[in-house]
Amino acid sequence: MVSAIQLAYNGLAFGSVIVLAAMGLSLLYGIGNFANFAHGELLTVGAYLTLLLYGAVGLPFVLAAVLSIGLAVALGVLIDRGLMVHHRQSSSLTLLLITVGVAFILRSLIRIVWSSSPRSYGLPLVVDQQVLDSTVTVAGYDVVLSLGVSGKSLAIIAVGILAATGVHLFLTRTKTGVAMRATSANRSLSKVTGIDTEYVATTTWAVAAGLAALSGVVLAYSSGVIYPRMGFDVLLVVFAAVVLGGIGSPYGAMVGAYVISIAREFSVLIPGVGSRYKLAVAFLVMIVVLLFKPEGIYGGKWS
Amino acid sequence: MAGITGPAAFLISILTTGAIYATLSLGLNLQWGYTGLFNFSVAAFWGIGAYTTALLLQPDGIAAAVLGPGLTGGPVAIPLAIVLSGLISGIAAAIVAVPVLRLRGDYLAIATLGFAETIRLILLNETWLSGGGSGMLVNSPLAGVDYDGLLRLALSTGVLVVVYSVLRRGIDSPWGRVLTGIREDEDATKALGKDTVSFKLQSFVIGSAIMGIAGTLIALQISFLVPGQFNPEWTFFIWIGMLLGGTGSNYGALVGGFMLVALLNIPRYVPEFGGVLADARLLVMGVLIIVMMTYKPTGLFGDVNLTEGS
Repeated sequence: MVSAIQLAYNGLAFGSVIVLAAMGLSLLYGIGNFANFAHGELLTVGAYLTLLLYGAVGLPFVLAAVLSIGLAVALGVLIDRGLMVHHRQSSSLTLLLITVGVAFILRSLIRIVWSSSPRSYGLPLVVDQQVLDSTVTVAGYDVVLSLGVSGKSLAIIAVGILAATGVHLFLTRTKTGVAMRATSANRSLSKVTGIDTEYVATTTWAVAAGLAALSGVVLAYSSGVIYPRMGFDVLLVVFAAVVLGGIGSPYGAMVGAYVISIAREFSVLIPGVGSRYKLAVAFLVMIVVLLFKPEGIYGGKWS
Repeated sequence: MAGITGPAAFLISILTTGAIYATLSLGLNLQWGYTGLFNFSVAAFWGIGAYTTALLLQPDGIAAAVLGPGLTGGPVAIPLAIVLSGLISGIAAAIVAVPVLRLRGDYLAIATLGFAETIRLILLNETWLSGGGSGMLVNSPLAGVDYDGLLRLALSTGVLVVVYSVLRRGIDSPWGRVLTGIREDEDATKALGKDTVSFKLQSFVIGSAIMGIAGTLIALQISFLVPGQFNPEWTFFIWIGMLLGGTGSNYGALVGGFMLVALLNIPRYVPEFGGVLADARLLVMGVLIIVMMTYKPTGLFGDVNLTEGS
């Protein structure tokens, strides 16, 4: 029998990886009005840059991660100033197709540089500490209460919650953040009131790429493997989180990330399904949300 | 292959594959080129058709247990496979599309991405059905027959001609004009009293059914199916073919399918590419998508009246 508490805790840890990517994807959606299919590759880029700086250059892991995030921010700015700036008037589906092109370019460059074979940071293994281990009988059923926690999973959860708080403060307490919310709500009105929407668009790419890179590093740290498809493999979960929260709402994306991730862990309880279809759970939740509440939890609202 | 060998056999095989890509490209062009619907599941619908065919061609497999003996395994199974592949892909397309067609266009993109991943997982995990990662043999009744390559070419070309003519008639009809209207301005089309959601559903389902039929053809052609043949990269190879040939033009999509087969096969004969071939191919594809969408969104033979996207 699997411990439900353990599943919820695992979901919380995975949700903390997803929330980092989902906030950025949602910001891009709200401000640029397009679904960024290159978001998964931005995660992968972050994971591989950290591998380069930590493994090959030999910097301390945290410093390598921070520098990779900085490089990813620069990549985000480059994508916006070099490419997306020519497509401000393009339809959302044209933009979507262009991000697919960006995804292909990034993934192929990663494969050319690092090949397709899986890599790892080679960090020491962390063993779970059992903090709870008992069985209680409730109404004739045995309920397993067991929970294993490690410094690693706690660190991941802390990173997720800190980043979400940081994004919240950025959006509410800084001039740029407020300008981003205004642009998302009404682009042309923001423009006539003097908001530099070009600056806002580029900043959004910078923030989204930085968060995605952080997500990629944390994902690689958590799973222990780095491979060229790693970001694309979680992209569906990230999209599901954004759709569940309500497209364009970063707060919805935060809630959506945790809800989807916990639901994903609990899917192993369904008999005959097992962990092989974890990814399909994200898809099913998304379809159900789209059927009954297409505007999502927050319905595109920002607060 | 009995009868024909060497360069001629290779040419026949390339032309057959080209006809299959052109069929896929026509299906996608109905969805994207004429109606403005984004489909990330091209390879998944193609795969459903291919695996349906492989199951029907087993003389005593699952399909035989469901349909009864006599229908599966022999040459009769080929026309049956074409019909059922189209039907099953079409039904699957309706299941994906119904929840999202009322919403903004990019929801369909996200939903089809989810569908494609789910199909990939099923093909990998359900070994009893699909053979899993180790693949599935197609028990083709054409294998070992004299001139089997020519037979497959004739079948694929025949299907392509039928699909092309049906689509051309459809697009020239009032039905086709409604689709183009949806692509250009859905609200205006709705204001004219057209049930745009229903038209979008028809376009999406018919396009996906065509992809399923192309699945039957590829199953007969490659004779061994692995899930990797139907991963999302293949979806975008078909996209590239259609975008190159021309969006919103059946002729363009047809040419695009044959351009794709050239694009995928020529680098094979450039020795310097060697091991990085697959990676470089992806790079070229990515650059092509961006360049096409930036400078020539209608492709080489596309609809000049097409305003960008929808």
